[in-house]
Amino acid sequence: MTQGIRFGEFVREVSLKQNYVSYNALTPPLKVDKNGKEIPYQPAKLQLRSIDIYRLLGPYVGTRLINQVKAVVPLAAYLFLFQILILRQGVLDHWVITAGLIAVILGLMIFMEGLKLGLMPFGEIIGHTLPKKSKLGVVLLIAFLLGIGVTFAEPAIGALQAVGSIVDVKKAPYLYALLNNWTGALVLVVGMGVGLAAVLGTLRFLNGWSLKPMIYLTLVPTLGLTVFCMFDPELSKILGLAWDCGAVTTGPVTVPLVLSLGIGIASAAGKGNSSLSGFGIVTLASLFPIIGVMCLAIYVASTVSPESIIQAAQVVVTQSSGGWLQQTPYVEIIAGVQSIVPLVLFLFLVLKILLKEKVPEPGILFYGLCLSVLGMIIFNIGLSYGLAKLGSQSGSFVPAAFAPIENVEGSPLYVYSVGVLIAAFFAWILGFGATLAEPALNALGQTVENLTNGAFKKSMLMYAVSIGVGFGISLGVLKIIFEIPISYLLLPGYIFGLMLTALSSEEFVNVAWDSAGVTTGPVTVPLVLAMGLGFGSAVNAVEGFGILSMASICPILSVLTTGLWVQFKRRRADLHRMQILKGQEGVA
Amino acid sequence: MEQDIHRKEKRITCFLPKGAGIKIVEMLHVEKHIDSTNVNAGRGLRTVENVSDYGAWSEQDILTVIVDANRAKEIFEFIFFQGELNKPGGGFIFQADIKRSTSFYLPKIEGSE
Amino acid sequence: MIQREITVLTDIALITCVVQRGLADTIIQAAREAGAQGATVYFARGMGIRERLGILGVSVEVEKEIIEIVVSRDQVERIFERMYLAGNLDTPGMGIMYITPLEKAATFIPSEVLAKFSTDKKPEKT
Repeated sequence: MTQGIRFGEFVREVSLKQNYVSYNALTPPLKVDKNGKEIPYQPAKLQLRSIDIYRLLGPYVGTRLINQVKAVVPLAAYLFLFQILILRQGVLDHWVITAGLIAVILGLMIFMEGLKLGLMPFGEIIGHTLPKKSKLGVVLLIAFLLGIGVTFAEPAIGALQAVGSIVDVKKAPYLYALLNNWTGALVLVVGMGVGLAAVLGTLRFLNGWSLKPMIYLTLVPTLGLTVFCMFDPELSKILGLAWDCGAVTTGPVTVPLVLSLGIGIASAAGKGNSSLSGFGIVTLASLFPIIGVMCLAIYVASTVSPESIIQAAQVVVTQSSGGWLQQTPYVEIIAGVQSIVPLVLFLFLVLKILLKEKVPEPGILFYGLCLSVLGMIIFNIGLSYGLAKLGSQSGSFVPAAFAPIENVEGSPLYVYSVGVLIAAFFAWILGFGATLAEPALNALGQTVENLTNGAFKKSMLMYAVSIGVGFGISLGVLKIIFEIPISYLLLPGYIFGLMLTALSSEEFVNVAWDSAGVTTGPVTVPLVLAMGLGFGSAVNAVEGFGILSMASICPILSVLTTGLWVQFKRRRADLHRMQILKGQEGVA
Repeated sequence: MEQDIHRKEKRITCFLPKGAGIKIVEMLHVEKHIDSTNVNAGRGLRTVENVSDYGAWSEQDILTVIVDANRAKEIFEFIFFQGELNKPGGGFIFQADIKRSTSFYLPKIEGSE
Repeated sequence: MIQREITVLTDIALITCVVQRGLADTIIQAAREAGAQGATVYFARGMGIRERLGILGVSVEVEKEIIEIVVSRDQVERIFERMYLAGNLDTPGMGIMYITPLEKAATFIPSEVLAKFSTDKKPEKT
C-alpha cells in the first residue's frame, strides 16, 4: 500500500521522547559476606505515605464497586420507575429499600472478591489433589457427601416452601403434602440428586466422557417421567415444583465451589481436550433432583390418598404460613455463616486429614474466606431489606395492570391485553436485570473467561444468559396468567434444547447447560417468587411454581444459539478475510 | 554466527488453533525426538475482526520449542507444514535467536512409550 | 516429503507487553489502529511489588495478561509507542513491554499478495 505521509507529521506522530536507562543501574548489586558467600537479596519494606495507600486502595475498591453498581442500580431504578410511572404507585419504605440496595451492592462486591481469593482457589486445590492422592471410591464418596451438604446449606430451597403457602390443599393435595408433611424427604431427595450428580460429574472428568450423551441419557427419563405425571390429573400439579427444585439447588456458594472442584479434578485427570471440560456437574445437579422429586411424588401418590391429605391438612392449616420475607437480621447472619462455614470446614478437614496437603498462601485464602462470609451476610441483609422488598412490591402490583387487585385503586389499570403485555414486559426486564446481578453467574462467567484465556468473554456469556432468563420469566408469567400446563412449555423447550445441543460444539454445550443451573440464585429467586405469588393469587392459580424452571430452560437455548451464531460468524469471517487479503499487501 | 559458542540454539514460537499444539508436541517427540517443547493456552485475534466484537477472539495454543540452530530450519518447516500454517486461518510461526539455553531431555523410563 | 513452498517473512519483530488483567483489549485496539495485523494474549500470574506491600498487597492484581504482537520492522517503533500510551505504562505498576528481534516468520499468505512480491523477495539464509 503506498500512501503519502508528510515526514513532519510522521515525526510529530512518532516522536514520543524515549529516554534510555540501563537496567543494570536499577537492579541491586550482588552483596557478599565475610566468607565470600552471597547474601540473598532482601527488598526493603516499602514506605507508604497515606496518599500511596489511597492510590493503591482507590482503584482496588473502585473497580469492584463500579462492577456491582452497574449490575444492581439499573435493576433497582427500573423497579422504582416502573412502579411509579406505569403502575402509578408510590414506593413504600423507600429509605429502607435504598439502604438495602447499598448493602446488596457492598455485599456482592465483598462476596465476589472473597470467591476469587478464597472459595474458588480452595475448591481448585482440593479438586486437583483429591484424585491424585485418594482412591476412586473415596473421591466419589466425598463428592456425594459434598452434594448433599451443599443442598442443605443452600437457603434458596427454603424459599420454595414459602410459595407452597398459597397452595390450596383441596386443589393440589399432593403438592401440599410434599411441601408440608414431606419437607424432610423432599430436601433429602433433592440432596441425593445433587450428590449423585456430583459423583457422575466426577466420573466424567476422570474418564473424559463427553457431556452430550450424559445430557441425552439424563433428559430422556426426566422428560419421560414428566410425560407420565402429565397424564395423571393429581400428579401433574407437582411438575412445577419438581422442575423448580432443580433450578433452585444451585446457588452462589455451590456453583463456584463445584465449578472449581470440577476444574481441579479435570485438570488433574488431564483428559478432555476442551478447556471447558471441568463443567457439567451443575447441569446434572439441576436435572437429577427433578427426577428425585417426581419419584417421591409418585411414591407419595401410591401410598397416601388425596382425601387423607386433605383431612390431615385441616388440622395443621394454621402452621403452614412461612414468613421468609419478614426475617430479622440475625436470620441473615446465620444463613450467611451456615451456607459457607460448614462446607469450608468439611473441605478443610478433607484437605488436612485425608490429603495432608498444605494450604498455599494461607493468609490470602483466609482473607478471601472471611470476605465471602461477610459479603454473604451483608448481601443477605440487603436482599431482604432492599431488593426483595422492592421486587415483591412491584411484583404484587404488576397484576393490577390487567386484573383487579384489592390495594390498588382503579385496577385493572389497563385494558386486559395491554395489561398482560405490560406484565410480560415487566417480567422480561426483571429477569434480565436480576440475572446480571446474580453472583453465581458472575462466578461462572469469570471461570469461563479464565479457562479460555479471555477468548470467551464474561460479558458475552452473561448477556446471553440474562436475555434467556428474561424470556423464560416472561413465559413463566404468561404460563400462570393463562394457566398453561408447565409440561406444554418444558417438553418442547427441552426437545429444542436437545436439537441445538446436537448441533453445537462441546464447549458451548458445557457452558450452556451449566448456565441454566446458575441463573436462579439469591437475587432472582426471591424476586421471581414474589412475583409468582402476586400473579398466582391475582389470577387464582393453583400454584405459582414453574417460573424458575422456565428461567432454566431459556438460557440454555439462548447460550446455545449464541454459540452457533459465533461459529457461523467465524466461518463467514474466514471467507471475508480471504477477500480482504486479496486487496491488501499486509500479511501476518 | 557460528563462532559465538553460546549462540547455537533458536527459539521457535508458533500460534496455532486450539488443540493443534499438543499434536505438534507429540509429533516432535515421536518423529524428531525433541522434548523441549511447551504449549500454552491463549486467545488470538484475527485480522479482520475488531477487539470488541463478540466472538472475535478465538482460543489458541502457543507452542514454544527450543532447538539446536543446525536443526532450526528443519523444525521450522516441519511445524509449518504439520501445523497446516500454509492454510488460511492456520496460525503464525516465528523464530528468534536466544542467547543461552540449558539442555533438556526426558529420562528413559522402562516400559513407557 | 512432497515439495512444498514456504514463504519466509523477514524484517519482523515481536512486541511483548505484560499488563494487569483486563487492560489488554484497549492496548490491542491501539496497536490495531497503528497497523498491527493480529494479536495473541494469554493469562499469567506476576510477582514483585505485591509481596513488599504487606497487607495492602491484596490490592495489587497478581493476574496478568501477556500480549504478543508480531509487527514489521518499519512499524515497530510506532506501534510500541502507541501501545505504551494506550496502556498508560508510565504509571507505576501498570506493566512492562519489550521488543524481541525475530529472525524469520511464516504464515499463510494468499497467492495474490505473494505474486506482487515474488520478483524482489530474496529467500533468507537460515
